Amino acid sequence: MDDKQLEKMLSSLTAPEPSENAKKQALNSAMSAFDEKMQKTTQGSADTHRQTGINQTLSQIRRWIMKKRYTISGTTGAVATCALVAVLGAPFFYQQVSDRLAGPEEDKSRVMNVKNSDVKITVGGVATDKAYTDALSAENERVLKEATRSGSSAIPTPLSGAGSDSIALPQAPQRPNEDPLQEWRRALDTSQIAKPEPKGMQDWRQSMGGAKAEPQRAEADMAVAPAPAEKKKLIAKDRAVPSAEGQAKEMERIAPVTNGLIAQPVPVSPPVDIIAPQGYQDIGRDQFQKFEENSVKNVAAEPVSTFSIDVDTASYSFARKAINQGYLPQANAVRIEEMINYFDYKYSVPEEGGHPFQPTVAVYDSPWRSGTKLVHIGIKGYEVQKEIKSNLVFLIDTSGSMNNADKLPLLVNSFKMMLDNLSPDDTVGIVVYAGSAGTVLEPTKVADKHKIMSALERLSAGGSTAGAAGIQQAYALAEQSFIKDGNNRIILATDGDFNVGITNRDELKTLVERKRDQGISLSVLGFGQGNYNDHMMQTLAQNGNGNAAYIDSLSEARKVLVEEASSTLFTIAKDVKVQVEFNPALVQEYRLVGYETRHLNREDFNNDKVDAGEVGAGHTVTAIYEITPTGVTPMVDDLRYQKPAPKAPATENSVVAPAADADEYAFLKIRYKRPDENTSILMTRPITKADEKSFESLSDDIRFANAVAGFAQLLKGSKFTGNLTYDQVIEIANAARGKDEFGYRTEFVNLVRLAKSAAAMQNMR
Amino acid sequence: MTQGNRQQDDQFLVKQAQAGDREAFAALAERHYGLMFKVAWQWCGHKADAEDIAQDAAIKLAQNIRSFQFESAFTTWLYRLVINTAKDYYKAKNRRNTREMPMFEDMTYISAEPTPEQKMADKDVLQAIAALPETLKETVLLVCWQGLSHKEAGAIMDCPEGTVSWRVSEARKKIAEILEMKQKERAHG
Repeated sequence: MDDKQLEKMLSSLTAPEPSENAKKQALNSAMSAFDEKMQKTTQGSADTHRQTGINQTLSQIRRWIMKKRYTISGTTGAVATCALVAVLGAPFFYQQVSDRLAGPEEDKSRVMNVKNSDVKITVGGVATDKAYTDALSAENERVLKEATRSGSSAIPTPLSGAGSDSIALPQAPQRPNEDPLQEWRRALDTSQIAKPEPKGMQDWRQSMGGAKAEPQRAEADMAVAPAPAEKKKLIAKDRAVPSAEGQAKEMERIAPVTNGLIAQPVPVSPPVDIIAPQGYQDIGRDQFQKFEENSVKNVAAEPVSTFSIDVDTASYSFARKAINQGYLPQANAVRIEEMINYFDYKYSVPEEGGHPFQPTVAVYDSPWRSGTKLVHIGIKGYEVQKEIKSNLVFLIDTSGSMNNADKLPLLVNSFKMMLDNLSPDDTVGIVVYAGSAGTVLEPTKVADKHKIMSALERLSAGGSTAGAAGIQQAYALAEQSFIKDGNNRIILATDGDFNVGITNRDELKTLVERKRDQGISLSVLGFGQGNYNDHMMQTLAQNGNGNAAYIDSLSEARKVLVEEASSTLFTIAKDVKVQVEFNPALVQEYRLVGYETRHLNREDFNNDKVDAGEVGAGHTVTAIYEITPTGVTPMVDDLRYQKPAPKAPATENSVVAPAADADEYAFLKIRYKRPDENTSILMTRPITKADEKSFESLSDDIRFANAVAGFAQLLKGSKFTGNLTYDQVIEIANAARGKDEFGYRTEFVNLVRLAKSAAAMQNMR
Repeated sequence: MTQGNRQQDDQFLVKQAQAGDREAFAALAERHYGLMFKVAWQWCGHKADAEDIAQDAAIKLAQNIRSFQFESAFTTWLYRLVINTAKDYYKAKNRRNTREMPMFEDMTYISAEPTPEQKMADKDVLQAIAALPETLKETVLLVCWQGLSHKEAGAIMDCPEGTVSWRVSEARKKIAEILEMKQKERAHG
């Protein structure tokens, strides 16, 4: 290509006009960034440009003169133009100055210049600038000097030789008065004091380091930050903890991650625990429902355990995110059953047409504690073969808080991925809610994918959250394109709070329930961290025949929305309840691992009015009971003044266990309803000694589930994990990885390693 | 309005903005939004992306206004800010790979509308530029499209004038190669 040809061609064409909206938005965000910046730098800072005294007066005078000149003479001189902009604002000025064809005049003149001359010498060269600047500075020296000093001196400008990327992110002027780490340190200290170390961690540490008086040290450590030297000693001591092989190495490995999280420069000098990541902190305002871990129940006193199944997986991904950032999730964020159910287990699946699932049962010696046994109950729903048409409405939170790489952009990409997995006949609608709720896309056939894609791409975050209005609009949209016998579903994507509109959880719940009865389900996808309202999400999903999943990465989005689309989208059984009656002849005590938030009363089991969890196509659900068989020292002492456990409680009308039941540990009952029915169907199965196997002979799936359950309890700081350690979990999981097609189990093993390091760090503080 | 005046205005507005004057900053952002958008568009060839980048750049402008030290023209500094923003934008989102939309669909011509053939040829050139390695692409945008001198471009890209000249000729060669390849592809079907 000829030298001039390129220039000529390029100069003949130009960019399209940006849309007014985009411009307005850009300028608005710039203004708020400006305000934020100025506010920040004028607070308690020494060398900023706080306008005080004469300086301010001067600028006021200047502004006044500017305005005056404009009103009086209306000259087109430079200063007047400024005033014009300041007074009349954007559109007017833009019209005046911008040449529609060539953009701002300056650029046009340059372009012309290139066109007309052979050599590229331009009017606005640097030399001119310099001369100009000099002249100007002479004229206005004081102001200029101040301004020049203002920028952080560490930030190079184009002429002073900067790294290629550095100018895009110059730092704010330093604030010498305030140690940037101070605030963080303070916050950390408080959270440490407020959060005593979980019992499980203490147990774990004791088992690692022998039963020394370590916990006391830890407490002192938590309350007062020790002097640096002392701290180092302590760290060294912890490093020397036996059997925590490779701990020091892992510590190093994890340190950078944590530093990244802190997002503060970590200078060498301050006596902060540079290498130590934070223990758990209340990150922002993530909200989790508080609950107590299920405790050990005496079979004689309470022979029946009832719960609703739970197919959610949100807890695992949330915990994973936390651990990957180098700290342990808060105990309430860990729901053991959700951690277990995150993984897919290959339980046997019934023929289609019969029951939608069948239980897989195993009894084995607990690797957590000698003497007890674990009862593993797993069910897997059949896979849906026939195509069910879907009518989906994406209800997307576009409030300001979603403006984060791990929120809205991730969400948009997730939905795009999901689109590929829908059939052309399915419809998709989009409703957004922020300051106000609005329909972005009327229900559109997936065949018109481009339209849906571009609607997704246009989404941007801003404003507060009017979730309730949004949800109502989404339901209206779903009703509008309702498919009979189809999968009518709203997929709510949010970081949590419905803080405008119906904020009453119960009110929303009622709405969701009512719509559920009309055939529209609700699934909830949680995004981001810091403002995550898990409790609300759970409430909505549980009452909307849906499920809740937490999306922390694109691969998680793929898992939930693509690989598990059929189970996420197609309910094959609803109101699934499990009831287990233990046989006091063989079992003294039992404890249900997890499902605390899904507890049902015994009488709820047969009451079809009581709502319970749903099973989607291909979903697996696992429950584990820890039982203490008779003949073993029970965890809870017998009562002195009560007769030893009666063979059958007086209230029970069942026949006293006959000889045939002598080898039955328990009796399992599952109730479910078909998706379109309102009467439940009962399945039963005894759990007998025949189900008993040695741990080694169990399937990979069951052993892996055991590892996950163990890990979840460690994370939770469970009181019942006995001698279980992270290393043991790793060992069990490693041996049970199986085929692991998508690498989830391998990821789990890595996660346990990270958690182990994070726990070690936490203990150190 | 002369260029000198515009620069004087810039200087004045920047100073005011650095001192915390909201109105001055508003005026500054307003008057340069067009430029920011244009540079962004030239970089990416998509209107929507360019709007996003311009917005990011406007925010960065607000955050970093105080680090401008009057050692160059304000616009020189701004070019660089926008180009770096654009780079960051694609780096952060890795969008280059996910984006399948054809580039430079929405260009407009300064003079009369060209023939469809001409338009296609032009688009070929633009896409060839877009396919260049980042430094060369940046050089072409600044020198050939924005019409900056090698010295100015050097200041923006932080390299000597000679390097700019070399890059320009290197870029021309590459563009020619790419165009040739395209033509061959077309000829073969």
